[in-house]
This record gives sequence, structure tokens and C-alpha cells, in this order.
Amino acid sequence: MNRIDAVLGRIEPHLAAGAIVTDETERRTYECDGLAVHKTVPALVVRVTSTAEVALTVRACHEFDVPFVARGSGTGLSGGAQPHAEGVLIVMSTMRDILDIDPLAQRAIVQPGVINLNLSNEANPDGYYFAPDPSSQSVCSIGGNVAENSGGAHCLKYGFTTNHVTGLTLVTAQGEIVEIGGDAPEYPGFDLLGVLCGSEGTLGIVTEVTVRLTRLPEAVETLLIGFESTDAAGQAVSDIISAGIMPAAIEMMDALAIEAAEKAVACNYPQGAGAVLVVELDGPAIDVELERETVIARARDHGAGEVRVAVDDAERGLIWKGRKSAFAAVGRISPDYIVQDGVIPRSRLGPVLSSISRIAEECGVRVANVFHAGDGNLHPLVLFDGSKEGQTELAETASGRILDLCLSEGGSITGEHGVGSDKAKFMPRMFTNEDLDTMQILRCAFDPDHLSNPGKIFPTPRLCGEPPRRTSGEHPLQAAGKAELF
Amino acid sequence: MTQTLPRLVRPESIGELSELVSQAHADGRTVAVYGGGSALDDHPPGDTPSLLIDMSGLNRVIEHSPGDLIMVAEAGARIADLKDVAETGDQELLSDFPADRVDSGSTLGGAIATRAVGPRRIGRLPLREVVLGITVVLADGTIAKAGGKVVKNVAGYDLSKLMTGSWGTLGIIASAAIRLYPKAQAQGFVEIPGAEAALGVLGSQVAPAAVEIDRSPGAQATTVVMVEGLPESVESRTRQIIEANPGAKSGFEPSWWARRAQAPVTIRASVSPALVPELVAQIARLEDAIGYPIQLRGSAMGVFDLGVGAPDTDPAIATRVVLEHLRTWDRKQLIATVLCAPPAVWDEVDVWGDIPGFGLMRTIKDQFDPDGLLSPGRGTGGL
Ligand SMILES: Cc1cc2nc3c(=O)[nH]c(=O)nc-3n(C[C@H](O)[C@H](O)[C@H](O)COP(=O)(O)OP(=O)(O)OC[C@H]3O[C@@H](n4cnc5c(N)ncnc54)[C@H](O)[C@@H]3O)c2cc1C
Repeated sequence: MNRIDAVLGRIEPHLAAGAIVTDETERRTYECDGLAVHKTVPALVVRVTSTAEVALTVRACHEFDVPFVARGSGTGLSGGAQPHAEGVLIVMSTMRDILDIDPLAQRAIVQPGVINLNLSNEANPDGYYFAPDPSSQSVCSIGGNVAENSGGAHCLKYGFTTNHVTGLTLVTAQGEIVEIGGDAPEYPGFDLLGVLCGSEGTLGIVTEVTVRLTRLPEAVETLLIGFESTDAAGQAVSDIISAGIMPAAIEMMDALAIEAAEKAVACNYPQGAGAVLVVELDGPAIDVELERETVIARARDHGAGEVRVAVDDAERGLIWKGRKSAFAAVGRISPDYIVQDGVIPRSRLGPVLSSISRIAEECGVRVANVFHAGDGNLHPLVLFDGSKEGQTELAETASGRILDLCLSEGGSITGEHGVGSDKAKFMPRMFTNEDLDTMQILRCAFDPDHLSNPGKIFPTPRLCGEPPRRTSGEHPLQAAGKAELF
Repeated sequence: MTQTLPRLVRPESIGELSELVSQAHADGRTVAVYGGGSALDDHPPGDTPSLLIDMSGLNRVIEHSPGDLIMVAEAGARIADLKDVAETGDQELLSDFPADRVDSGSTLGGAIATRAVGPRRIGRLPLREVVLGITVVLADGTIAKAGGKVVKNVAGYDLSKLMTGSWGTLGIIASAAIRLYPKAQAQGFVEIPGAEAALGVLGSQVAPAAVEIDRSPGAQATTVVMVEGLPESVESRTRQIIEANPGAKSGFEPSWWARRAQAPVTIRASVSPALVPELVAQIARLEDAIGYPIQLRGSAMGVFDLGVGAPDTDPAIATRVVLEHLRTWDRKQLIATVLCAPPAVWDEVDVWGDIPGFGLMRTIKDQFDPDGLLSPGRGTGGL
């Protein structure tokens, strides 16, 4: 009997009809996440409805040494939820109940499949919302947000998912149910919540999440500001931040991205602008009013053209529509594109954007830029035509060189989309073997058999128990005759 | 009882620190770290280490970039000195850090290792959230880093958070990158009698920077709200709070602000914000019932320090009673451990209780430090 059949034998008697998918065509619908270039058909798909069912499934996987991968809404952009060909795909989107909303405690308890925006919608009448707001918030799951430590436009001020989780239930890679944290803000001991957020499903499966709810602000003001160039817009961003203002969001789009958004959603951005900034201020009404004047003044210092302040929710919606639809919109101006996600120190925006255009030119591709300017999180969109010989390779080269550029500026290879299967090969460019082995030490504590989402994040993980990849021999200290230091 | 004194070393570079730890590892010797000594009375004293590492030689600022709101510094640098450096850019380092620890010489590494908490965690994020990257020396001397120096980064596991609050038991923090905040132009304080108003302020639109509750033994509690920002805004919001809360009056920074109460034993109680008024009321009733003074102070966000006992009494009994009482609450709502105590209490009282996820913590410790060489006995739950 093969191992998948063995798992099936264990779980089938306990799950509802329809929970288990064996049909090949139906399994194929789960072959990739939002990054469609990496595809694998899972050997088995299980749609779970409770912590107990997850534990049952994982225990069976552990018993028969079968890898498993959790999948939320499948909107990830790094292949994190890409299935394993000999493994079980555990679909969490069927666990989508909001279990409790407690405005007084500023907490909510949700199942991991709950859609991000649904929680905010439910909490709004009480005056609260869930602050992390990835652009995909109308479809992505909170379990996926936890696994990716997702951010969004408003994370500049309010922090990423990790800052909004106070408790969770984890099914470990051995199938044990562990409750971590709760409603209280500080739990003693190692920060398990901190390491689980952003672990991309490699440390077990999250089956319940307690999140912090944030008070809706008294006032919100959204500004759309046109600039001659990304350079000028970048300098305005630096000045705004240096003025001591912490906007809820500062987003930038360059000319190509504006063109795409205009074609797709007719968002009516300033014509002929080389770049636009979307700046959102929120908080007490008086602060928002004072800060708006400073923002406009700083923008004018850098030659801002049109400054549009949204007068109502409809106008605000239109401004955001242009920004939030930008990824999809580039599909209107290019048959294919790669969404890149890199981070640089914000003060280096100008020079980095110039280098990106140089890279694009050298590779013969076009690059549109849409990004979270406030925290230096770039999303260069590399446009190409895959039907043309050699274009795909050129686009990949450009995309990789952009990441190298981010690293050379002291930045990161991913700000919010995660490493997944897509960027594992870049990890050794950012971290040494020692760094990566240290991360493996943590992995071994949670998942010694490497069954939970294997093959993600790390290019060639050291097996648990295997000696580290370090040079051994006489210690340099002894060699240097400094051992008497002791 | 005689004890062999540990040998004391003072590395001046991360490379040297790594060599020392690696040699100690080879010899099977235990190691502990001395930063500023400001948390020596917190957590159990632990076993006397065979090697004591004085971090004062690792005190350089590696990078300060005001434009990016970040600072990277070695772990032995004093918080007070780093705050001065941040000040040159009109910025603030570790807003949510206790003032008494700053004054008594706390270092960056010590601050991170102990995950110290203060009042200003509402507007500016607590310490755990502002450590962007970290370099550590592991039990065998390996130098490893995680995170980075940019505010947004999800490449690899967040080991900075793992090391934050690990009390030196998983690795020795050698340097860290910290997110800075612009300094507020103005601050204002409002004093409100009682603790009942605290939740209302938290849930209001005035965006407080801190909401602290202080209650001395036998006295009524006081809530102090801090707002910060532009001067006009601070003035307007201060007025709003006063108008909305009977008995409220504008005040100054209280002398106890961001300082722990002096008491033989400090219990750290972390509680769901919804239950804060209930905790304050119960502590008052408990004090009456057991006849031991209990000082309460902390953030309405739900982190409190309870100072238990008077100088001439045996603090162990009082501590036990208070802990037993607090542990009747659901631990998802409230969790209480001893933070600071004399030796007898560590030995005689169940200071840790039942910590959620402790089994996983044990496994992590065993993986990182299989021989138990790092800061033995200093960690939470004896890790
Ligand atoms: C148009 C578009 C815009 C986007 N914008 C943003 C943005 O602004 N910011 C941002 O951060 N991201 C963004 N993303 C990326 C993506 O939406 C986020 O990463 C999101 O959090 C993924 O959620 P999901 O439910 O789709 O997870 P999936 O894609 O299903 O899974 C993502 C990872 O999480 C793991 N996982 C899922 N559920 C669990 C669980 N319960 N327990 C353990 N592991 C689990 C999976 O194994 C996988 O590794 C965008 C994506 C798209 C398509």
C-alpha cells in the first residue's frame, strides 16, 4: 500500500463526504498559488473544518512520513502554498468562522480561513478594524496573513500582521495541538508567536488566531499628489517622514504604472505625471488637519504639481482603486509580468529607482514601479512578452538583478510576499550558511522530520541532527596563541 | 558555602566574543553575560557561570541613519548613550522602555534579552516590535544574524523575536538594528481618579500614547493618560479627555512614570484589556483580605507589575497567595509570573505556573543549547 493510501485509510472514516479530494482534475485546481509559474498537483487534498481534523490529518502524515502543505486562499505570490507531489494539501479556507469579536478587549478570535476584509467589516460597527491590509484583503485569509506576516499600505504606521496577533492554536508537525498566548498582551517565555508569524507554514499549521483589533480613527484624509519624477516624489517622502509625520500610508506609482492603472480602472490620476504619491493620514481630526498642511508644503518643496484631497469616501475609493489594482492592471499593457518584492532603506529610493531603470534598459524589458514608499518596500513589475524567444529569461535576469541591487543597499529580498519556493535560491545571497543553519535549528525544534511545507524558504536545508556546515579544526583562538585569555 | 568565582572576560569585538564562547563550549563551561546589571534582581539568579562575559567592550554605534529611522549598535552600548545619539536626529530610541532601567545603565543587549516593557506601547509599539535585526553568538560560538536593518522584511524566520526576551539562554546578543521614532514636539498628561476610566480612554478617539494605572497599597487607583504630538493637538486632546472624565485634571509626568515600584517581590501580570478594571478591583480586595500591601502599576493595555510585601515580612507567603489567586483566572485572560524576588521566593514558590507552549520552548532550548551552557537557570521556567 502506498503512503498516501495509508494516510487516506487513517482519515477517511473520520471526515465528512466531500472533504477528501482524490479526483485528479479536481486536485489540479489546487496546483499553484498566486504565482502560477510554479505548479505541482498534490497527491491528496483535504478540506478541513476543525482543529481536530487538522490534527488527525497531520498525525496520519507524520505516522506515514508524508509531507503536508497548508493552503489558505492561495493568493500568495512566492509559491508558499505550492503543493507537494507526494504530499497532502490541507485546505484551510473551509475554516472560516469568526468565533468572537470583543471590542472592549480589542480582540477577535477567528478561524484561519476567515477572509481578512470580512473581519474588518464585522468589527466596523463596533468602531474597530483589523489593521493589516494587504492589497489582496478581499480574498486572502488571516491564516495566510499570519504565515506570511503580511503587510499592506497601512502597515507603515500600524505594523505588520505579527504586531496584531496575541494568540494562536498550532497543530505541530507531529499532530499535537498547542495553544499559544491568548487575549493578554505579554506571555512569558520565548516569543513563539513572533517566530510563527512569517514562518510560511513550515513550523506547523495554525488553526485559530486571536488578533488585536484597532480603533477606527476619528478622521482620515487621502491625498493624491503628482510629481515630475520618481526622484522628486522620493525626496518628498523623505521630507515628510523627517518632519516627524507618520502617515498611515505613503504609496508611490511611476509613469508606467499610472498608465496601466488608468487603462484598467480609469482612476483619473494627474495627467502626464512622472510619479504620484498616495498619502493617507489618519488619527484625531486636529492632527490630520495639521499634518495635511505639512505634507502639502513638503510636496510643493519638491515641485508637486496637482494636489488632490479626497472630499468623500467615493473619491478616496477611486484614489485607492488606482493603487490597489495596479498589479493586475499591468496586464493591460504587457502580456506577461513578474511582480518583484524587495526592500531598501527609504533614503536610497532615488538612486535605486535610477539603477532599476538602468537594469531594465540593459535587459531590454520595461519595469513599472508601484510600491510602499514609506517603508522602502519596492514592487517593481517586470513586463515582458513570454511568447517572444528569450524574453522570459531576460525578465528573470532583470528581476534577479533588482534583488541583488536591494541587497547591495542593505535591504531585503522580500518585504511581504515571502520566500516560498520562488526565492529560496536567493536566501544564500542575503544570509550566510551559519545564518541559515541557525534558522534550521528552530525548524528542527518544531518539525524535525521536515514534513511541514518542505522545500520552501531554504534552498538546501541541513537535516536535523546533521552537523552544521562549518569549517572545523583548530580554533583560530588557539592558533593565535590567545587561549590564555581564559 | 564557597563558590568558585567565574572568570571574567571583556571581548572588544564580535569575533573575539565568538572565540571566547567557542572555547568555553569546547571546554564544557557555562557562560553568562553582564550588560549593565540593571536586571540582575529580575528572574532567578541562576547557577554561577564558569565564564562571565562583560559586554562593555562592545559598545559601538555601527550605523545611525536618521533618514531611515534606524540605528544599529553593539549590544554592550548603553541605552542612555544610544538615546543621546538618536536625539541628534530629533528621534527617539526605545520609546517603550522603563526609565529606571535607562538610569541604572541598561545596555541594548540587556534590554532586548529581558524584553523590558514600559508605558508607551500604544502609539509607538513595544520593544519586541522595533528590533529589526539581530546578530547573536550561539552556544558553540557561531555568529549568526537574522532580520536586517530595514523596517519591512520577511526573509527567513524572525529570530530577532526569538532572542527578544530569551534572557541569554539561546544565544548572546552581539548587535541589533532598532527602528527609531520621530520625537514628539509636545506631550501632555491628564490625571483621572480611579481605574474605571482607563478603558474608555483606550477606546476613544484621542489616540493616547500611554494609559497608566497606579495604585498604592490602601489607596485609590489613579489613571494617568499621556498624549503626544503637535502642540495644538496635544492641547486639544488633553482638553477632550478632561471634559469627558469627571474629576480629571491636567497634570505632569508623575514621579513614578515608567518606573517600577520598590517592593520585595514584583509579580508581572498580563491581562486582557477588558479585564483591567476587574484586576485593579480584585487586587484591592485581596490586599484587604490577606493584610499584605500590594502596589499595582502598569498599562491599561494589560501589562501590570504588582509589588508585593513589606520590607520586614516574609514575602514568600504573600507572593504565593497572590499568585494562587491570580491563577484562578483563565490563563488566556490573565497570566502571572514572578519577575523580581529575593532568593527564598525563587526556591519556595511556584514562580512560573503553567506557561502556554512551554513544551515547545523546552525543545527550542534543547536545540539551541543542548549542553545547557548559556545562562543556566536564568530563563523563564528554568529554561
Ligand atoms: C493582487 C495581490 C495583491 C497582494 N498584495 C499584498 C500586499 O499588499 N501585502 C502582502 O503582504 N501580500 C500581498 N499579496 C500576497 C498574499 O495575498 C498574502 O501573502 C496573503 O497573506 C496570503 O494569504 P492566503 O490566504 O492566500 O495564503 P496562501 O497563498 O494560501 O498561503 C500562503 C502561505 O501560508 C501558508 N498557510 C496558509 N494558511 C496557513 C495556516 N492556517 N497555517 C499555516 N500556514 C498557512 C501556506 O502554506 C503558504 O506558505 C498579494 C497577492 C495578490 C494576488
